[in-house]
Amino acid sequence: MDEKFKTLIAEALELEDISLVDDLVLNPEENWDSIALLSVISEIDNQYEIQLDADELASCTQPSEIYALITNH
Amino acid sequence: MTELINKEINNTANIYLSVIKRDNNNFAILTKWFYILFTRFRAAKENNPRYIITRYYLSRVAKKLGFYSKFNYCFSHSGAYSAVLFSSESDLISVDIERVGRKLPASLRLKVRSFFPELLLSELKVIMILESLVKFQIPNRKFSFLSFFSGEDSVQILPLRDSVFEVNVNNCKVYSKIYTFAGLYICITLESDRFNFSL
Repeated sequence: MDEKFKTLIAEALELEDISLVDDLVLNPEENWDSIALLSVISEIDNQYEIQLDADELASCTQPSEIYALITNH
Repeated sequence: MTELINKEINNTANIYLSVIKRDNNNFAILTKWFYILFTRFRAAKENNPRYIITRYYLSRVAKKLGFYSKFNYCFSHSGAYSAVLFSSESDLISVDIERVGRKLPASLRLKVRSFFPELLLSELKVIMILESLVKFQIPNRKFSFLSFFSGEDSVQILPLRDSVFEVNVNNCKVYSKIYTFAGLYICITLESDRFNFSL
């Protein structure tokens, strides 16, 4: 995961430090709610010009899986 | 689990709002899970703590208020807090809660603002109204964020009074009110605009 992506995730999920992204677990009960999802979709669209499928994104459990969706797009 | 509020917010349709703070006491969750086995939620496949605690709470409070088998309900969660909206009538209802001060990335704020350039309402509150529409069973056509942002669903939000908004979605008129309580914004959407003034 590159710095740009980590910054994107940190901002969308309101993390204090991008170093927290590496070990982050996406949990719908805690940090991976609808607004987090909308935020990530919007930021990826804005920065990578990629429109990810919301259901596919929602099923991700780690930021690395989101990163894989971007790189494999 | 702590009940922070349980209040009737529309007395013509018996609509109640509760806000609870959940805790993760495993033994307590187990007993609540056992309790809901004997309620209308017994067939549900989900068994996460949040699900169990909110269904347990709703079953207990609805019974206390004399609501038995038939009642409508909607849940929303933010961190350790859950909102439970329920009604003894068949009215459509929905609720969304978010932490006051939750930040949105600039791209999302701009996208939301582009749909409502004149509306004097924060982007977070606009998203909360939209989120409540997702849960509200709009009769004409089910509303979704995807179809809204792609322009297939149209939404107009018109301020009425005291944080009450008339919302026109896919030719259906509903009403939303945003309350502030315990560091949370609580957006409630109903078929009528008869909200109680405050919590």
